[in-house]
Amino acid sequence: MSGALWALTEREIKKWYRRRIAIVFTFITPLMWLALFGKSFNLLSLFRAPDDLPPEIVRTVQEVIDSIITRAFGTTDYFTYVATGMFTVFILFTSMFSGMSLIFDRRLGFLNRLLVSPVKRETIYLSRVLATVIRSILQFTGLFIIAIALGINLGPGVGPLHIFLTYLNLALVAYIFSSIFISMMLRVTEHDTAISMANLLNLPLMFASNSIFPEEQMPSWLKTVALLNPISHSNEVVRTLLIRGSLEIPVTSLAYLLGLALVSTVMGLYLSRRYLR
Amino acid sequence: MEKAIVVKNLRKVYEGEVVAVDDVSFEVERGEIFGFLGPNGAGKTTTINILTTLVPPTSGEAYVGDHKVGEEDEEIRRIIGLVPQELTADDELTGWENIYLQGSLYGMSRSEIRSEARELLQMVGLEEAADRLVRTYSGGMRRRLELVMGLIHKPEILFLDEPTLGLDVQTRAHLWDHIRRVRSEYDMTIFMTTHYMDEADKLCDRIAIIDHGRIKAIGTPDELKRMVEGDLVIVRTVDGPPIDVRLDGVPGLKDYTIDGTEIRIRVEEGERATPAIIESLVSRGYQIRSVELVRPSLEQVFLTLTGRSIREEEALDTISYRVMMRRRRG
Repeated sequence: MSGALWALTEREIKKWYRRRIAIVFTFITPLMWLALFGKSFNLLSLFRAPDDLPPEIVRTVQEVIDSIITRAFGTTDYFTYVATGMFTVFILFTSMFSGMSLIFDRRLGFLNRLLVSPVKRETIYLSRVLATVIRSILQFTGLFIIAIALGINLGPGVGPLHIFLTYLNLALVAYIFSSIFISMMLRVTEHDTAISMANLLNLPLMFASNSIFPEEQMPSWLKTVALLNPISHSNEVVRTLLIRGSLEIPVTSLAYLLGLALVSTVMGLYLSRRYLR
Repeated sequence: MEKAIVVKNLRKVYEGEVVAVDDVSFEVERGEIFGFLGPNGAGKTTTINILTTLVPPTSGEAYVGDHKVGEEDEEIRRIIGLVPQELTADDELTGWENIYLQGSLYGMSRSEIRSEARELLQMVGLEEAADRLVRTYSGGMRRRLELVMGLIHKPEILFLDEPTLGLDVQTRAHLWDHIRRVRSEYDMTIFMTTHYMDEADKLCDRIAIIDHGRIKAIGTPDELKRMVEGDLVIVRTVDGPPIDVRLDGVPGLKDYTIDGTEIRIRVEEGERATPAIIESLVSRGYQIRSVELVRPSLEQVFLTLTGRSIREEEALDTISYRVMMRRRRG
């Protein structure tokens, strides 16, 4: 039945790329964060050593400031910090609405067409997850190009392998988020439920992570949330690869993400068998 | 392997109160076109939903192609096809893309689907539109596409839920031809529902008349029509209820009923009886407004069995009804 899985995935992808205007709109929110927040809130220009001191002292003070900023953000360029954080947030935004097509299929009767066929209920579910992963990765490519155009500072030694691993990591994150959100939509029949849920969760999930600010500076309760937030762990991986230019991916973050992927798979398969009817 | 569908004492109650199907039993022979005739809300779609494994029955048993509903659903799904009442092809895809998707749900390869679809598309006259987005199709074209999608995997048993709902007379007649052709060419059993009398009459080998979730009668169209013997002459007078009507001299008179200013007279032969009826009423001083001669028809059978007629207006009501049904299910 892999033919059915691919055919159903293909349908989702086709419907997506035919809605060109909607695709343009999906870039607006992350672009705002990148261009407006990431660029205007540039800490490096905020913290400049005063000019009226002797040049030697200016240089020393500037070095101290730089090292403080680097210790907190891993880079002196705040834009790069936000951009690498927004990649995963963008995946979240995309995945949050991945359950919508299921709700519409239920309402329009298309789902019944699938349910009277011998296709496995898990296949219906997995096709949506797979489509979201593909969609997220293609959209991320767009965002990555925009970030480069806006002047993201990739670390020294970032090569094709680093970028490939970034893609793999983001695909994993898309898989986790979409399988969770699609599972939540298996029984929902009203699309406004999905919209309000997404609106309720998106910004808190973003702020309670190290996407725009490192968790070390957070109050302890928020820090706990941030440490449990998969966005933070994905950001760790992305920043290791793209800012530090290192291949030494933090093992705990990777293990955490893989564990979540496993749990969400088991949950999604169980729920789809039970509630897709 | 003798019967295509066997249903015994089937019952479906939604949310503990709405009885959609009430103690329904019937059998469908292999190769026949069996029709459920009844108004909206009679329980036709619910029966289809149970037989196609979409909705579990509250009680009773149903077998589709010897497989028991609720226990061997996967086996049933492999041998059935459904053309639902709603137009459910994806309108953001082309006709061909919809057909390809549908075929792959049944494990067909792309080339199998292509060769199968070409024949079907040609039969219903959709080859040229197949590469267009379904959004651009007319209602009749969409119905035909739904039919092709329901047939792509050559099901043993095809379910048609109100196959010509909302179509004009000419398009409906064409669709009937397609359905007849499908049955003879593919040797298929067809279970269909309709609230159009003429559709049931012209298309079905056997009909079950269903109302308020109960089957009122089952038989061939001719058998059912024989239930109401003779013609019906309906006379409407201008004033006053004609209480002391005397129709003794009317040839072939069977019986008559009076309802307000309307007299319904059942006779053997309408043409011969009508002049005598008019004469008898006029001689008693009644002024006649209109005279109507009704031949034995399923409409009449339905009227006799249920005490009301299936009205065309109900078709317009279908949309709000559907919304209601879905809320109930959701």
